[in-house]
Amino acid sequence: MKKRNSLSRRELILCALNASGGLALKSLVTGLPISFLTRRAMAADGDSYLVYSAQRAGDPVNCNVPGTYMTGFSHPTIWETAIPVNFGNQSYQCAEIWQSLLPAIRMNTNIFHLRTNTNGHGELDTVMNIFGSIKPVTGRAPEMLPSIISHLLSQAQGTTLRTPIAMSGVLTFEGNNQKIYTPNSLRGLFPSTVSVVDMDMRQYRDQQLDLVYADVKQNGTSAQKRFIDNYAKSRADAQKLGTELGVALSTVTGSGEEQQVRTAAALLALKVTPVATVGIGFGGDNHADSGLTQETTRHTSGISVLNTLYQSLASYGIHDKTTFAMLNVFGRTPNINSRGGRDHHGDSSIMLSFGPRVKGGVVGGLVVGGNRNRPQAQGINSVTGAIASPNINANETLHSAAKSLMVACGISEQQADQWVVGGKVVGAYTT
Amino acid sequence: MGLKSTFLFLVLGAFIAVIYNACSPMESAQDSVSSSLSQVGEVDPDLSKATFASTLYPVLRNNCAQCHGVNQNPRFAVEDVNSAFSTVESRSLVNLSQPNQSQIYLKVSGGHQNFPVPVIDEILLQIQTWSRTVITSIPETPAEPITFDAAEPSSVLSKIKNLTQGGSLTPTEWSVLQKPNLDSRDLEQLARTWIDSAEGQAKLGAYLRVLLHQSVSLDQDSDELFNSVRDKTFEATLQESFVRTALDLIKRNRPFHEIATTRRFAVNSVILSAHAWMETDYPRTMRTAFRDHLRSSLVTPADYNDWRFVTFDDQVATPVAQAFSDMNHWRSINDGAVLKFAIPRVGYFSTIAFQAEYPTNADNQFRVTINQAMIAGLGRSYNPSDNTPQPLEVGIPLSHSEKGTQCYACHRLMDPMRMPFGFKMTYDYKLGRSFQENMGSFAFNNFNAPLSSVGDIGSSIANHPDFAQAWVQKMCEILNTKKCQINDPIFMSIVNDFKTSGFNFKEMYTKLVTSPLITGAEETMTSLQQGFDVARQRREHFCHNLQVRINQVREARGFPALPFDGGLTLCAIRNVSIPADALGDDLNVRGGESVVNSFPSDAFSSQAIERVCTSLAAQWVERDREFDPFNLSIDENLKIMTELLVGLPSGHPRHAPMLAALKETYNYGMQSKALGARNALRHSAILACQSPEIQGVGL
Repeated sequence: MKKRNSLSRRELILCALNASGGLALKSLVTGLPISFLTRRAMAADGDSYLVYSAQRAGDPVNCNVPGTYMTGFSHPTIWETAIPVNFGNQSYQCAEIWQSLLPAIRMNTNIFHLRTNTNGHGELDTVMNIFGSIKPVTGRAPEMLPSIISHLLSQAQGTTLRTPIAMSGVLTFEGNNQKIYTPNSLRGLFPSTVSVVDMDMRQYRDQQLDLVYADVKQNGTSAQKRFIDNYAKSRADAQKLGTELGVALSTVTGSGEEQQVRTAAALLALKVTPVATVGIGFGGDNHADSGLTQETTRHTSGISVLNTLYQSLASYGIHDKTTFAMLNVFGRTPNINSRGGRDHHGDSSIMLSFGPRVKGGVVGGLVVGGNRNRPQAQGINSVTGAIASPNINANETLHSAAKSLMVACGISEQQADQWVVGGKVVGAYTT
Repeated sequence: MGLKSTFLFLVLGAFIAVIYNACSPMESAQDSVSSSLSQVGEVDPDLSKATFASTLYPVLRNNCAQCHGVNQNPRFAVEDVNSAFSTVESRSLVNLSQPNQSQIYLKVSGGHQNFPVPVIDEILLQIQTWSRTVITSIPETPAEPITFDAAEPSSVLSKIKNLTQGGSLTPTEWSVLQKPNLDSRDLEQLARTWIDSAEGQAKLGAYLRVLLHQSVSLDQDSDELFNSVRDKTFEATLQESFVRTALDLIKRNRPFHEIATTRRFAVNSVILSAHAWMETDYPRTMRTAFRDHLRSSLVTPADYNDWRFVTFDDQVATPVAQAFSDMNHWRSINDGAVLKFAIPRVGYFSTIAFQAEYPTNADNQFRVTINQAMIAGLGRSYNPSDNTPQPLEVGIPLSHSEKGTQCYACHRLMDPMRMPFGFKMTYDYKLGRSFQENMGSFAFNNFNAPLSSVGDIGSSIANHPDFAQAWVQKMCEILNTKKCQINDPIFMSIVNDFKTSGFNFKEMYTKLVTSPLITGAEETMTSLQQGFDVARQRREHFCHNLQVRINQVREARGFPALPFDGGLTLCAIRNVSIPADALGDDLNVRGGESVVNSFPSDAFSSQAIERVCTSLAAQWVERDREFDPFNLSIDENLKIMTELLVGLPSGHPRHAPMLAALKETYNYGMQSKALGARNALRHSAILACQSPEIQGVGL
C-alpha cells in the first residue's frame, strides 16, 4: 500500500522553497549554497549601490530607443517600425527589442538623451570625468563619475573598499588608474576554504608587519605614511573578505558580460564596494555593420545581460538598492554610412539607467540640426525633463545626467552640486 | 648691429615665440567644457561680465589674441568683449568656485603646446580676482592639501636600485651613504652600474617594451596576420625583437631617435621566417600554414634563441624568394647581413609585434597604425585643435572632408600621414597595395615634412622637435607612475641635456632616475603640483626584483644563479599565475597617451600578493633550496631573508625590527601552532615577500 505521507520530488522542492522563504530559488539562480545565503546579513536598509557600464567603443544603444523614431534615423530592418513599449507608466515608440527588457526593470528605466560632444575612442576618460568638472577628492585630477559616487557612498555605508571595482573599460580613482579585473581573476584570488591555522598565521604576520613599520608611520615622509596606511588597510580588508567572496564567486566561470554582472551583484551584496563597473555592448564599434546585424544581435544580448543583472541583484535582495547606468564615450550616428554601419556621434548619446529612485520614462530629446542636419540632443528643462523651455544647455546635458544619477544613487542634490560643476539635477529623472 | 642690439633682438624674438606658442591651439571646444559660471551660486551676470572685462580679458587679449582672437576655437580673446565672455561662459572655461580648477588655467598650467606659458600666474590671479568680486561665498573645496617631505638618502638609494636593477643594496652600496658629501654624481655613478648590469638591461627592456608598444598580445585581433596563432613563445619572441634592437642602440651610444629610423633589427630564425610569411601570398585554403609551421618539427627551440642583427632593405618590389618554411635558409643568415624584403621595416612602428598589436582593416586604413606610431614615438595622439599646416591633403575621405568639423580637423592631419603604409602593404600588413598613391605629408604639432616612403615617417618622428621631451616624459611616467610637469625646471633641464647630448638615452635615463623628480629627495614643481607618492610595485617588476634577489640569496648560499628571465618563470608557476595576473601591470591602451601603470593598494591586490607569496615561499623553503631549515640554522636563514630578500642591509634602521618580526613569526608557528620548522619558516618567507620594501617603490 502506498504510504500517504510520501512526497513527490516536485512537492519536496515546493516544500523546501516555502520553508526557506525562497532561499532555494535564490540558491538555484546564484548557484550558491543556501548556507551561504543565510550566513550573512548583507546590504542594509538605506544602502545604495551602482553598476556602471561604459564602453570605449561607443555604442549604438542610442539608436533604437524612445525618441529615435524620427526623421533622420535609420533602424535595423526588423525594427524599422516602432512599437509602443512602456517605460515607467508611459508608453513610448521604440524598437520591439526593448519589450524584452523585464517589465520590473522597465518600470524604473529612463532614457536620458544627452551630448557627450566627443568623437574619439580615447575620450572615454574625459566623458567619465564629465570633462574635468568633477572635483578631485585628493590632488588635482578630476574624479570619474563612478569614482565620486563610490567615494561618497562608501563613506555613508562602510563598504570594505572606497574604490569601485572595475571589470571593463578605464577607471581612475583619486587620479590613479585602477586595475581592471576580470571575473576570472577575482575568482582565482579568493579561495572558498582556508584553514584556521593559516588564517591565524596570516593575522599574526600582519601584526608583525605593522610593528616593523610603526616607525615609518610615525616618522616617515607623508608619501611613505600614506603607502603604509593604505597597505595595512588593504591587508586587513583582504582578511575581512575572507572566504565569503570566494564562495560567492565560485560559480562564476568566464569573464564575459553575463559573468561581469553576476560578479558585480556579488561584490555589491557583500558590501565589498558600492560601485562596480562593467562593459555591456549593444552593437559596439559598428562602422561596417552591413544590415546592422551586429547591432541587432548585440541589442538582444545586451538586454539579456541587463535582465541577468536584475535577476542576480534580486537573488541577493539588493535589486531595490541598486542603480544601473550606462554612459558610453559617444553615441553612434542616426544615419547609416556607406559601409552599412554607424559612425561616431558626439551630438547624440544616451544614459540608459534603471534603479529604485529612477523614474521610468524619457528625459530630453532630439531635434534635427547642426552642420550636418542630423538629430542632435537638445537642452532640457530641469523640472519637466522635456526639451521645451530648456534651462540646461545642450552642452551641459552630460553634466546634468551625471548629477541626476548621483541623486538617484541616494546622494543629496546639494552634494551633487558641490562635487560636479555645471549642469542641473533633472527633477523628472528621479522618483 | 651691435652685440647689445643682437641680444635684445633675440630676447624679443624668443618672447614673441613664447607668446605665440602660449596662444597656440587649445583643446577642442569639447575638451574645454568643465564648469559653468552659472553654477557658482547667485552670480549677477552683468557684474560678472564687467569684472571679466577688467580682469581676465585683458590678459587673454594681450597674450592669446593672435590665435584665439582670430579663428582658433575657442575664441575667448576676440575683440568684442561680449563675444569673448560668451565663449568663456558657454565653453565653461572658468570655474569661479575653484579658480585653480578652471580649464583655461589647467590647460596651460603645465605649458601649452610644449612651451611654458609666462602669464600662467597672471591668468590664475585674474580669475581669483574675478571670483572674489562676484561670489560672496565660495564653497569650501573638498580637495585635500598636498604635502611633501623629502625622502631620506637611504630611501633614495633603495628606490634608484629598485627601479634600475631590482636587487637589494649590497653592504658596499649601503656604505656610500656614509660619505660626508654624498651628491648626485655618486648616485649617477651607482645608477650607471646598475643600468649596465644584465638585470638592469632586462629591466630597461621591460620599460621599453611597453613604451615602444611592442608588448603584443596575440589574440583574436591579430588573427588576420597569423591565422589564429596564439603561441606564447612566438608572442614573446615578437615582443623581444625590437626591445633588443633599442637596447643595442643604447649600448652603442647611437642617438636614441634612431628607434624611428633604424633598419637594423635584432632577429632570430623564427622572426625571419615570420617576415617571409608576411611577404608571401597564400591562398585562403592555406591560411593556417604559418601556425602549422610553428607547430611542426621544422622549428626548434634553438630557432627562438639564435639572435643576431640584420638590416632590411626594402628597395625591391618583389617578395622575398625563400619560403617561410625553409628554416635552414633562415638559420644560415649571418649577423650583419642585409636582407632584401619588399615590406618596409623601419623603426619601432613597422615591427610585426607593433602591427599585430594594432591591426588595421578596410575601415581603419592604417589610421590606427599612424596614430599609435605618434603615441609611441612622440607621446601624443592627434588633436583636433592642432593647426599645423598640412601641405598635401591627400587620402581624406569625402565622409570626413567637411571643413570645420571635428572629424576633418584630425583627418586632415592623419590621413595624408598614413599614405606610405598602404603603398606596399595590405590591410593585413602583408605584401600588397592598399593605396595607389605613395605620396603623403607629415603634419603633427607644429612640424611638417613631405612623405614618400615609410622611412620618411620614421625620419619625421626622429626629427620632430617634441621627440626629446616626449621620451623624458615617457620615462618619467613609467618610473614614477605619473607624468612630470613639463614646465618643471628639472624636467626641462633633462630634456635640454638629452637634446644636446645627441639623444644619449643612457645619460638621460641616469639623470632622470637620480633626479628629485623620481627620488623625492627634494620638492620639485612636479611634486608641488601633483604630490609625491610611494607607488605600488607592478607585477612585472615585482617578479623581476624577486628573481634578482633570489639569485642574490643563491649566491650567498653557494648555489648557481637561476637563468635570468625577468622573473617570468618565477611568476608563471602553477597556482601563481592567476593571482599574479590580478596584480597591476604596465600596459598600453589603444588610443591612450598614457601607460596604464598605477596599481592601488586594495584588498584585491593584497589578496593577490598573499597567494603569490604563499606559493613562492613553498618553493623557496625546502631542503637544499634558498631557505633550508634542515641544513642551515634558522637564524642564518632569517638573516639572509632580511638582508637579501627584503633588502635591508645591516645598519638599516629597519634591519633589526624586520629580523625580529621574521623570528617572531617563526616562533609563533612553531610554538603556538605546532607547525614544523619548514612550515613555520615558510610563514616568515611569506612575511618577507609581503614586506612594503618589496611591494612598494620608494620606502
